[in-house]
Amino acid sequence: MSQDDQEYRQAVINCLRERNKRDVLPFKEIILQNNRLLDNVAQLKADNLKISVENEQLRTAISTGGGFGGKDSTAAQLAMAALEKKLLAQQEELTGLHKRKGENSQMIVDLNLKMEKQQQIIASKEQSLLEQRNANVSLRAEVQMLKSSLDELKNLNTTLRDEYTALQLAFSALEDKMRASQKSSSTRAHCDVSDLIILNS
Amino acid sequence: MANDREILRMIWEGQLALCFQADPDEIVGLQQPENFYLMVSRLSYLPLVTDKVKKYFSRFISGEQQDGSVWFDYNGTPLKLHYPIGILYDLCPEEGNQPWCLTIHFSKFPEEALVKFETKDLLESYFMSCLKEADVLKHRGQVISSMQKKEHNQLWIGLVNDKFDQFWAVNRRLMEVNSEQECFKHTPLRFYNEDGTFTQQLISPLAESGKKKTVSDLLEELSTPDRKAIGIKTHGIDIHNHTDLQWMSEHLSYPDNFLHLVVFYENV
Repeated sequence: MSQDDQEYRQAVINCLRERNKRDVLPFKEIILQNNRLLDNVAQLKADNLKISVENEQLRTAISTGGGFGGKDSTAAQLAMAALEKKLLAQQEELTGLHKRKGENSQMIVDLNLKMEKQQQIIASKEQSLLEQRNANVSLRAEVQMLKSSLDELKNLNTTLRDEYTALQLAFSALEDKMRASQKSSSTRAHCDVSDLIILNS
Repeated sequence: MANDREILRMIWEGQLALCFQADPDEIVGLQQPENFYLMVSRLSYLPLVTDKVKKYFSRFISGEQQDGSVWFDYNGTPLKLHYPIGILYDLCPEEGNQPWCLTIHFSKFPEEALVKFETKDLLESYFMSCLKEADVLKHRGQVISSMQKKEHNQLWIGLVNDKFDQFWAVNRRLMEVNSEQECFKHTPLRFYNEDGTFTQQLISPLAESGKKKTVSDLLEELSTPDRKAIGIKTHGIDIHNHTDLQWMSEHLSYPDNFLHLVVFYENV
């Protein structure tokens, strides 16, 4: 928008604002409030009328009910007795229901307590289970370690046995050899002695 | 293109404080009704905003008159039901007479002075015909005839329910100009006289020189040797002489797409 355009646009805006200050602001809120009050009044009048009509009907019903005598009166009394009996039965039922409600509430409280206790037991068992699991894990590790150690020792043992057997065999061979050489030495010595004896005779 | 949202909003939200009183000749019973006050949109029409008023006063009048055609007067002058409320108020000679006090009538409809709108549908038909007329002036009718019925409905419903966005979603198309031109073919205008009648003239928003016309140019066109047009008023405000006519048409038109202008003259 050019400068001139901005000027007239701004002039329009300013005029509209002035107009609203003059024509709208002083009245808007108060008129809205007024109309709300009118609506409330209309509603209250309607409710009032309805209640008055009901009131009048009830008055008429009561005065009509007490006004007649004879057969109508007996019928009315019988109806009233039946209603009273019904009312009594309803009241008894209500009392029973209140009592049951009280008992149920108590049961709820007890069950809640029980549930809490059970939850505590479960929690402690879970804790114990966790500890056992941890111990189990460490024992398994130890077993594994011992097994591998045992295997090592077994291997070592086998190796030692083999060496021992080999040494034993070598020892036997050497012992046989020594015996043989001892025997040959003693035979030679005996021959030497015999030769000497022969020579000397 | 009507793209100055601030102005469009301020125009849309323009309101007037109205005070309705009963016709004393129509009141039955001893109880005199209190006046009924209401804030109404300047852009709307009396039959659209007075349902509550009718309901309020109808319990004070006789049963026979309940079904009669309702009409309103200000100081004895019947008010046209198909004129926007804003222009009805602007035509009042006195300034600062708020709340604007109108009398509601349920009988003796002045058929020589007013057009009857028995139902809102009739008013809607009138509104649509004004829109079409405005579009013929602006775009040779091409834009409105390319719209679907539901879009026409949306304009009316937007106005009736005071929904700015709903209305302008469709109306912005009626305010667009061809990319080749800067302006509408003609500007839809109604010039109001003091007696409440209006005239229309074929006014182009561009001068012969190709420059955009302003209010000054318009006032020159409206002046005659006997009387000079010295100013215009719309939406309750006087319009600056340098205001661009095309811009005015895009932003200051009423929902029927016409500029409704009160013209002030002085005798030469």
